[in-house]
Amino acid sequence: MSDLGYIVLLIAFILTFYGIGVSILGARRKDPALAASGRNTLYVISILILIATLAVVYMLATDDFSNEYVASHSERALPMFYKIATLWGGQSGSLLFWSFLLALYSSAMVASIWDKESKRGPWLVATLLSVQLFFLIISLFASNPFNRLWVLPDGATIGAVFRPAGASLFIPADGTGLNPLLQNYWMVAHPIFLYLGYVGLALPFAYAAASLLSGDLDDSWVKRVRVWNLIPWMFLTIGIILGSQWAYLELGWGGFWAWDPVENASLIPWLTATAFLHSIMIQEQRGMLKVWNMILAFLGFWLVIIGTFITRSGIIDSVHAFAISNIGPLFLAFIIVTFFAYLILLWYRLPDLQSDAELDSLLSREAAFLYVNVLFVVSAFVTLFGTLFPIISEAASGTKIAVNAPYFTKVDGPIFLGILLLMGIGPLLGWRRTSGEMLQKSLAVPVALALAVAGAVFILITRNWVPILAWALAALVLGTIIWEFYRGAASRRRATGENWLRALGSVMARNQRRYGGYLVHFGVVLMAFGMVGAVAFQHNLKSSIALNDSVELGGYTFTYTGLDQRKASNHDEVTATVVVTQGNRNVAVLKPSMNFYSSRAARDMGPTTEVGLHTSILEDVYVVLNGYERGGELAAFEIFVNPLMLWMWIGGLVMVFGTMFALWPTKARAPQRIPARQPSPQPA
Amino acid sequence: MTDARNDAAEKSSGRGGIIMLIIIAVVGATLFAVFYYGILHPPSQRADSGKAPDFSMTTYTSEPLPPDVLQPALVDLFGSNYGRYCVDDVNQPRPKDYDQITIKLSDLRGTPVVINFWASWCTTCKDEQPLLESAWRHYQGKVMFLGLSHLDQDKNARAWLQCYNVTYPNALDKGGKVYNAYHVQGVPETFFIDANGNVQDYFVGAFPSASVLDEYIQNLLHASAPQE
Amino acid sequence: MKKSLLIAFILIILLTTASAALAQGVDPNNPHNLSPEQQAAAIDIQTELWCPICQGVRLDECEQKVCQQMRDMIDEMLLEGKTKQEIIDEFVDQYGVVILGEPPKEGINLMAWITPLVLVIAGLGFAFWMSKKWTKKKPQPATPLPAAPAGDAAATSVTGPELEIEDEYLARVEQELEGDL
Repeated sequence: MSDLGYIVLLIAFILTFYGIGVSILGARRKDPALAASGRNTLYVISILILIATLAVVYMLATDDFSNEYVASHSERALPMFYKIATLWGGQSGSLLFWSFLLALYSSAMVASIWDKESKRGPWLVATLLSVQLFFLIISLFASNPFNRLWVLPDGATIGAVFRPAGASLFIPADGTGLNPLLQNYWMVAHPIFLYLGYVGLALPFAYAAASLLSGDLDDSWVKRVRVWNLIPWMFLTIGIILGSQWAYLELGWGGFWAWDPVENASLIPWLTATAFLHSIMIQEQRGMLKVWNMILAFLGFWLVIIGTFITRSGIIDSVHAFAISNIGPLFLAFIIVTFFAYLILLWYRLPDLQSDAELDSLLSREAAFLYVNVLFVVSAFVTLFGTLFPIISEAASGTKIAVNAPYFTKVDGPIFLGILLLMGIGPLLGWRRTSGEMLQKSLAVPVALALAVAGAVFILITRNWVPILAWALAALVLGTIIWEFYRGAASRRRATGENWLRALGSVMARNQRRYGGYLVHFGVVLMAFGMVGAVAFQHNLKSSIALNDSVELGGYTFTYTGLDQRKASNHDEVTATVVVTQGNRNVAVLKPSMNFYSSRAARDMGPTTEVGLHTSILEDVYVVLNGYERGGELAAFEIFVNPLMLWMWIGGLVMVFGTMFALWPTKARAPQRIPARQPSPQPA
Repeated sequence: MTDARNDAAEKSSGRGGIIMLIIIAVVGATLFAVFYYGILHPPSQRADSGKAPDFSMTTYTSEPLPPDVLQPALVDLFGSNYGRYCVDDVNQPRPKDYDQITIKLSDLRGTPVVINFWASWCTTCKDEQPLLESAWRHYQGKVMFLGLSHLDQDKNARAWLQCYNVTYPNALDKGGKVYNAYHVQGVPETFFIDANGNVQDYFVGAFPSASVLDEYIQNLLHASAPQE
Repeated sequence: MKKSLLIAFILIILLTTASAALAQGVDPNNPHNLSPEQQAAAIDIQTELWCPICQGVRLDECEQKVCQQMRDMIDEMLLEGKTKQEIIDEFVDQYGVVILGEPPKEGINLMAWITPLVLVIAGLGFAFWMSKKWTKKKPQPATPLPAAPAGDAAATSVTGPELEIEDEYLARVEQELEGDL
């Protein structure tokens, strides 16, 4: 099976050269037959990569420990579900998985746009295959999932595809096992979405590159790329949210985002992709920011690769980073080559990327978009800078420093608040210009809501200005969204005489993008609401509780009533029972546990904890079992009360729902440009 | 729209585009510089050759800890049967020669030096400490030994030193300054400085046996021998 | 009433843990029998310090021996009556800036704090410069648009200064509805 996978991947690798060559030839000679051959090669390569991926899955499922990847990441006792998930549990497997996802995406995008893009199409295939080539090189020559284990004559074991001189095949009796932290449903789902997001960001990049290469630079590319940016953006959003859910449930530290380099690596491209999905609207509507959009399309994918490089090359250590490996130099080479190639290409096409329109007023929606774009990109680079700062500092002063959560919250926090402010004001501004009076009128409701929230929080909850400001800004955005929905429905009602509900429904259905966008904004408001609550008002307590004794925190009483031991297929589970009461009311019976894994990979890491969690709309009660003594007469707990956590997850769901609403395919109506300069807009 | 205005528009957005590209190029170049440095000089590349970074250290007092402090500290560090690790009489005083004195590495020029980074919370250091102490007793006069405890506390470090009855000078590496200067990656790690003050060799982790340590010291003495 | 109950609870816990400590070493969560206030202060300090040998692990979450020693030291210093700032300063002095979790605001590390500020100002400044450049070429300064001619949306409205604004807004909404933003 190792051989089969390797050979299939090798054929795909060779075919990639043919595909790139024939596509470029087809594009230059304007020969549809050559171009079609290039496209078909892409499909064939995709199928080959699918077969190679299935080969790894098969070996994992059948415990084929002659394969190095299987032997070092799986074990017999692992449940089947996790065995298959091991595909993305280690480095070489996950990189093959990237390759597979890229193949899937490439085929889908090329198939969907081929008929419309005779000029860009072949260039698109060539660009996508070049990216695929990079991943295939990594899989074949640097981080090969098809290595087998061999025993050398001197007794050493190595992984290699071909039999080294004098070596004999080595098949261990059992594998070393999967990192126990990854044996969790969230962690199984989280990488799939994250990688769908990462890899998908290659699509806008490829589309932009294809436009530049073909010289076909009219604004149609931003219209067609919108979907192919929004889909990966949505997956990246889901991936990040699932990752924080995993951190919250599995790491047992009461928080959801640690600003760890691996987490930052997922946030940084998300920020630029978010900037991109806003700024392409300006190009669609006004034909502006063409160069900027070309840069953003590139940045998203480039920052994905940089993030991967940072977290996997070993230049920065991180808790969840994979082992230091030899893929670092290859990633760096790819980063540098794509950077210069793209920059030169952009430079060459710069004269063709002139703005069609001018800004009419600083008080216009395009101006707000411009500023929010800058803030997104700056926050991405500030986060990157903070992640890399330990290297910079050590280079400059020789002293090791750590850059952790406090730094990022202090530095990124204000930028995010600025983004919230613009989220509140921007949608109220019109394209081209807005009169002060009109802005005043439309801002009245949101500002009133913001002030009311600020006042209520100040009087009832806290005098700390950070949550007051953050909640007030969230309320501003909420007010804007409500106002926009109201105005849309009102206008529709006036025009058609429909009742409120119908008017709202049809106005939303007719403008999926607009109202989908507002739904996403609403999700952000909910997330901000929850996050501020959880970060600013968390209580925690560490306590050892004797059997049938209790402690109090945040108005709850926690009574420790027993300890049980259970054997699962590959670990022992010690579960404590904690009864949570509030006054006379029974709130929950929580079962925090410690898992002791027996595999070799797990033994050094110590036990993992499974949190006991009770969620309500007001607050989460979160109990971690840290240890126990004398068979459970005394157990050590850490207890958290995290206010409003649920709203973060609801907000995440709303964001995803809003994106889907905006994406949902309906009969397309060609968007109209807002005219550049015209005495007054004509009502339709 | 007049032609003049059109030209102006083109010029201005053209300039904006160029400035954007320049910004991107600068950002990219900065990133590459950081990566280049990060790869060529990985965050922790040891001072494994050349001039040994100079430092001065102020040794722990050799005043023994009161038994009521010492005993729980030993239990905390080594477990209740700490006798397994420690010398028979943990209360015996350590020599006064190095009682809170300041030693500067550059002042030791002419003598080969063994610098050992350790910590009282470090498990593998426990196996190594007796080897170092007996090597010191054997080579005393020919080789200087310096111990630097990393991320450590006075009470714990002194309990440790009493447990093994360590007689060579030991000090807290305050703020991890020496640790950083040598780019140590973890404890224990040991550096061998020749008589000329150059790093002759280093060893990562605990010495597995007295003979391995001995070999390193022999090499150090050999390298430090006058070239005649 | 509630408070005394809490104290009673804590007393019970202290008693049980103290007896546990006698029998079995010390209570891992409160080895120094701190008062509840001191315990809260200890947690407060722990959440501001970071494990020096891990990556991104807060002191209160860290299971390393070095962290246990650090937590002990915090307890002991609290018992000596030291303030939070004194304790943190002493830790930085003894363990180095690595335990702070953020670059100290001095020397070369000041760059970590200045650079983001510079980036934000430069980015917004660039956007402002660009938008100024774009608007400068406008023939006339931005003034409120004249009222939209009566169309479908405005058909029901009566003319008047207030409603003109309304009409402009509605015109925009309608136009955008068509524009399918």
